[in-house]
Amino acid sequence: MNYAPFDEIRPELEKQYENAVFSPEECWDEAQLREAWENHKRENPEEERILSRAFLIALILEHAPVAVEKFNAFPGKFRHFDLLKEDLDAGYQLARKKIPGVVTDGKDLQLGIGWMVDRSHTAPDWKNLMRLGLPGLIERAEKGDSPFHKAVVTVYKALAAFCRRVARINGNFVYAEIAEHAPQSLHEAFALAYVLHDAIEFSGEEVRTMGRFDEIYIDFYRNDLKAGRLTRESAKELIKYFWIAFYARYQGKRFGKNFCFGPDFNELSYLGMEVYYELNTVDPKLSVLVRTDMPQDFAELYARCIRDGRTAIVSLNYDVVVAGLIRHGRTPEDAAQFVPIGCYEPAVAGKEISCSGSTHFYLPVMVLSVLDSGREFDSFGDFKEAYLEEIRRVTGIMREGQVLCDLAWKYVNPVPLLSGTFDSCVEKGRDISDAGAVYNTTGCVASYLADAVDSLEAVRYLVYEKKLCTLARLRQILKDNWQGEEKLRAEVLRYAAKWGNNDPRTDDLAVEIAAFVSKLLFNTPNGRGGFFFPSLYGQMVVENGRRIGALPSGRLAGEPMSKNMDACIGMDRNGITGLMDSVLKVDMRQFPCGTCLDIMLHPTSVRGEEGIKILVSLIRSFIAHGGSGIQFNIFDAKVLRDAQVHPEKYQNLQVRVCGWNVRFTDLAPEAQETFIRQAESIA
Amino acid sequence: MTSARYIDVKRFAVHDGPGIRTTLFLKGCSLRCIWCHNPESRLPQPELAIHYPKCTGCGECAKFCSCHKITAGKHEFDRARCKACGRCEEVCPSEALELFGKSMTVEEAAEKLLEDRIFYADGGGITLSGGEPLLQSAFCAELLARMKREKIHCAVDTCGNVPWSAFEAVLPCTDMFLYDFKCADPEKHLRLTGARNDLLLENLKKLDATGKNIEIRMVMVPGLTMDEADLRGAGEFLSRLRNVSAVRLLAYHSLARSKFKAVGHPDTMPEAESPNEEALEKCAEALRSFDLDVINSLK
Repeated sequence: MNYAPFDEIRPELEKQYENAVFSPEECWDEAQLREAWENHKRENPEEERILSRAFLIALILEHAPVAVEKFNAFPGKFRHFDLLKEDLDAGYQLARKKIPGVVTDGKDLQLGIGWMVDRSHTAPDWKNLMRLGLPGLIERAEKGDSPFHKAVVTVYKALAAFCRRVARINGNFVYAEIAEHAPQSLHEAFALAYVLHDAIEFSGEEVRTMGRFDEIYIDFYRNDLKAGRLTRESAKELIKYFWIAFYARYQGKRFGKNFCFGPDFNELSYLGMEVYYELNTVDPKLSVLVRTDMPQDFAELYARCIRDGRTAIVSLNYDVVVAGLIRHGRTPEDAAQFVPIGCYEPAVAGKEISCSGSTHFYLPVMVLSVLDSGREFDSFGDFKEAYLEEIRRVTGIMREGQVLCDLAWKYVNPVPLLSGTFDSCVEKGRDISDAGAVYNTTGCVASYLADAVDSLEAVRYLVYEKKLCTLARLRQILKDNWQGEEKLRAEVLRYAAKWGNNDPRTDDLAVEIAAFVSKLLFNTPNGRGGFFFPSLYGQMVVENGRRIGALPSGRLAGEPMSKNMDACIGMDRNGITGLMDSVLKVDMRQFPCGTCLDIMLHPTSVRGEEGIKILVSLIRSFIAHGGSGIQFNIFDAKVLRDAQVHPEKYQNLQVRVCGWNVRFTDLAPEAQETFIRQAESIA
Repeated sequence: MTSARYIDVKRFAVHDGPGIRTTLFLKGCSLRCIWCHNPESRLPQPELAIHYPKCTGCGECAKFCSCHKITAGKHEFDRARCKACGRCEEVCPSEALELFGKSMTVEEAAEKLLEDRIFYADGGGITLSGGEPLLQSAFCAELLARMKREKIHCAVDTCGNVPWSAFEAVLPCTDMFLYDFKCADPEKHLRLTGARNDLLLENLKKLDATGKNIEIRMVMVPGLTMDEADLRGAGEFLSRLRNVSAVRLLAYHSLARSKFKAVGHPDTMPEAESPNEEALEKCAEALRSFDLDVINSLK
């Protein structure tokens, strides 16, 4: 490594996108690029979408200006003048023409459902990329003669040309090497992953995981050490240069780039976690695949990261996820190769595209729908049946909307840069957007479980047990946002059972809803030759809360929703173990597309070396008893309040939002309040 | 079946012994430490606490019981007449009323303590605390035996100011004692806690002789327990014991002050600042010179 010590140059590296200075060498200006693109379109009016997309990507990679960043071990910024983005809009127009009736971003707030063309939950086959390199990928695609194969060859040749250009402009010979053969060193491997990642993202798909870090790169690392190309210390520097590039892209204001660790831990796992501690950044984020046999020293290493504020780490139960994937049709060998593509949405690496954010439905909204129907029910059991029936009805509408989106994806944005790494795509001659993967999944997110469960239980309590009001009266009370019924609301909040307290009244409901939802979606076909698979988590709790009315649970209109598998804010009165006891009753294997529990701890409960062990114990207990995903925030409400007043003092204060981290000071005031409220409830 | 008066069951207790634990706080104590953090646990009988900051003056309680009165929007309470029946607690919509000292059988307690058992596997367990749990030693003995049948790690947090027979009752089923040590000087001990320390030091020596694992816990109160003489006295006494695995220094804080008012006891909480990590570390160093393994709980 002939680069400046990382810590010295970190500020520049953090701004490597923002401050990129583009070389006038070896490139075309915007007018030339646009002209070439317009000419191409004019000359090929009927060209298949994948080929025109490949042409445009290649045009940019071969001719767009490249940044001069000689200080950076991982250069490779290019200017695309929004051409790729504009063409994406054209893709949506094309899709609407080809698939009549498609709504590519559908939402029905009344029903509580939504669907979309999900371009943000994909990942290439990283292992194939490392094994074959660009020349290998080109060579195997050249054996096919479909438009798909031609597109793949076009984009990879262009990417190789781009690497050569970067090498010449920046004097970075590593880039020249990766254009010619599969990577031979850790630096080459990282560089190849980085340029492919960026190229895919600029071409309109979000790469949600960089794969299993320790497994993919261990041989490079060992060989470099053996050959004397790297020392342990210089490898750490290299990883920091690599990881900070992912931070630099969005400055910690998006969903974060996932690097996966485990389930087998090697010396690179330890080294990587050490680096992660030192780097102290909101992005990249890590996922750790945990089995009960996880070594204690590794567990403590990453628990220390979490305890000390590097909370962008989710632990996923390897065995439970694998079992869930197998139950939902993956072979055991494939299931074993999963990575989270998204926050905690597992998918088989190199064989599956999860599209986990495609559809969603908000579980509490259907409680309101049943109330609003004006029907009367003799018993709570009948009310509950009607609720489940309503879920069945609205998810049917949701799936219809989504199937059209599934069909539309190949017109919107084929991704030869990504698909070319998939064995199955090359064999079938089909892009991932066109059912090229082995498993073409459409994710289906069931959200805000706690709000739904607490609301159902409140209906039972108010209407059927205590008979404090009728359904009709409750409907009016909710329309009035509980105004004038503060006493009744206080009673509901205090005496109706709440999810997250190991209370069978609510927990049984949650288990029943979870099983119903999972079964409902089991083996339901999507529009890409795959299936809908359910997940159980709730994100965007502040944003969506604003649009959801008052609930029987006592929640007021506009208040934040419950996050992931959590209790409603402040309602887990028996502490986190009570919450975990409730959560562990739900069979997580029913949700192959992921679920997660967010735990908030007060710093004093994990102080000192003993605190690290407490954190490990929590994770281990959760994993040993069938939990799936778990992640932490460690807050003192007073510190958060102070950070609102003195943001300058807290530039490193991270919060785990849902499946990603941001700086607390970057949060909107309303979101800050939500965290503070929760932190106060645990103080 | 044996019952006990208790004040609380705390889950995810991480400061009451090793690992993740559930702590049962029993009611009644034989000391009156001026800095008491749980004044609601002192008297053996049930008591109603009124959390004044939560009271909205709605008057629901007054409808149920003449001990409560709302005068000009302010809550007034006739404690002398209160029978601690607890009915008012249920009707208070703002959770301002709380009855401490409800009764629980061994089986009820066991059920509560076992709820979190999956979290005990990694070195955690249950702790009996208080108040002084050994004032209800028959209950403790029965409950601990029940826990041992479930192979749960059991700790008892005691001030030691109980007859030795109480220790004997729980010894067979207790894995670890958390033993409070306030002050070595008997006269000062009397001033600070309302009792001389002869009995509890004697018990500590006897307990040490049984070979049970003991963790000493000392609350560091500026101006009261942190002086050189105090630490020297403690160090000299403790260094003669053989089975003390650690001495844990806890930082005094006055967060419990409002609870004195809530249960209508005179506020004896000292007007001292909570010591910080460095202050505790100085005390720890002083004690370490007696060859003790000292834990600074703020570190």
